[in-house]
Amino acid sequence: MHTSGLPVLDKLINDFSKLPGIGYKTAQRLALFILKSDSSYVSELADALLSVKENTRLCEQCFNIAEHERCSICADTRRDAGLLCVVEDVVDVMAIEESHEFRGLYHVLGGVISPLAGTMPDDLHLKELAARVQVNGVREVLLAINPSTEGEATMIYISRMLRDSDVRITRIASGVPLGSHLEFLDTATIGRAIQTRRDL
Amino acid sequence: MYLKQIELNHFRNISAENINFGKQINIIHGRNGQGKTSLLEAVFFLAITKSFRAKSEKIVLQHDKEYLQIAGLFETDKKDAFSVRIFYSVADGKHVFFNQNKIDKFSQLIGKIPVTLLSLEDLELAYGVPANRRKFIDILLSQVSPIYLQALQIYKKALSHRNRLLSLISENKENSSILFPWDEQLVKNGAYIIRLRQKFITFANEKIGDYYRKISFRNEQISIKYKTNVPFEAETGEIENVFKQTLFDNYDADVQRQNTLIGPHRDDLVFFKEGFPLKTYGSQGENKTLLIALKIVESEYLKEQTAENPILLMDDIFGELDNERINNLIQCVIPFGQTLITTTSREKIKGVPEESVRFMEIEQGKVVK
Repeated sequence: MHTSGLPVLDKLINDFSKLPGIGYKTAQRLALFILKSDSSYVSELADALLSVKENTRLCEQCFNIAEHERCSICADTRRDAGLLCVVEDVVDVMAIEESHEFRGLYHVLGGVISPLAGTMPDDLHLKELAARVQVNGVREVLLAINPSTEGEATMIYISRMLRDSDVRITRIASGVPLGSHLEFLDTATIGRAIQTRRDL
Repeated sequence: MYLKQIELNHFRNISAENINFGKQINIIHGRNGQGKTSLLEAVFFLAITKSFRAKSEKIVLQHDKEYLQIAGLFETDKKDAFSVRIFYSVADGKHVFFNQNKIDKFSQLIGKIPVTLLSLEDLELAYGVPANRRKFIDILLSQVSPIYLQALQIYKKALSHRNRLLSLISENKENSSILFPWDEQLVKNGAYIIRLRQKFITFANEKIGDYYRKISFRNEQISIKYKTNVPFEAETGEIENVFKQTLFDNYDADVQRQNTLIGPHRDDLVFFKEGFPLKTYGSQGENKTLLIALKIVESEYLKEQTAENPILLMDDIFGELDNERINNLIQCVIPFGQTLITTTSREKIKGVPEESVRFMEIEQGKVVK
């Protein structure tokens, strides 16, 4: 395909273009930037890349990214261990943490159930969730899973799995986004918001 | 709804054309292969964001051209004006604009421009495969209700997942205990689908006989039945539990066939004349009259549900009809506002009030008069 005539540079461009959201042009620009940068910056970057692989693992309790056995959230004793928020992926933990609204702990499933994509319940951290709910004095499990067909199936699965435990199972609301105008929303979203309305 | 003007670029054999339409009946005439149907196809495309005969945009792109564009100026019955533009290029794909603003999800446009189409392909509706009849009712109800469209999309997706699991179960790689999240979504969305279809059929049964008799001048009883394999009680309207139970009862057969055999995706519409199924006993002419009556009922339903007159598109359907029937038909559609009719012969249309008709002749992708 494209070639700069320098195999070492081509390899770097090719590796950059594997990153999400990076096309060939951007990869080329990044590679040239590296080429022109100070050696000290480049070795710092290389160390950071290696270090993120070598010094992180999955939290043994919630499967979030962790530096130690437990992630910083699970290790924080000020957080409410009676409240569990179930999410698909690590990126969802980050999104919810940025809102500063949630003071409980997380449980990262690592995906949603999707037979067509080959993801079965056993491929997710569902058994671990059931075990956590039984031992740790959990009062509430909040499902913060995207409301796709697969996400819905996963929520249905979890609520059945936890049916016999004493915990309260909730799901995040879906409907009108903050700062939006009703007239610009699609009708299906408005319909859903009306179906899930609540008392004032 | 009134389509005031359409602008086409590189759409099928139409290179560049700007056409103004009349508020009521528009007769587009010309010889075969001149672009009459393409014009209707373009109007349908603006409303549904898809063609009714081509599977991909590439097919409707004029030969050797890089892009195509369809732009329409509409006016609602309440006199609000808006524009819709569809742009497609081989390199960049399809983009839809509503009042100059780009629409992310094409489904957001569906229902804004209610349209009913009657073409020769539809003539098979009464006796062709059930999939066509489901497609007919699904397009109609998606225009009426965006929630129906959403339910249909979720239903189809859940169904694919379930069928995949059925294959795995039949190969002993999974067991039945993991079906319930999909069954629950099939039941919830499927029940909604059946309910809305049933509601339309009830409406259609009240009206279709009248239109049939008006066009055919024959005093015959016409009815439609929604045939479902979910044997619910019409009186209570309870579908969910019955559907769930039927799915459960049919489990072994589903596994054996590696396919879900129960649900609205297998349902059908059956048309009856004097109590007998038209599929087996109907003549060509009867089928055609029935179909026209059904399309008028469809328009009336769209009008009632969306509080907006639909645009009626009739593609070359006069073929076997005599002048009297054509006249009756035109009288029936006048109250529905704008209608676009294609025909090879202008002579067929006579005795229609002149003030409500606009004629245009099309030749080699150009309006010539």
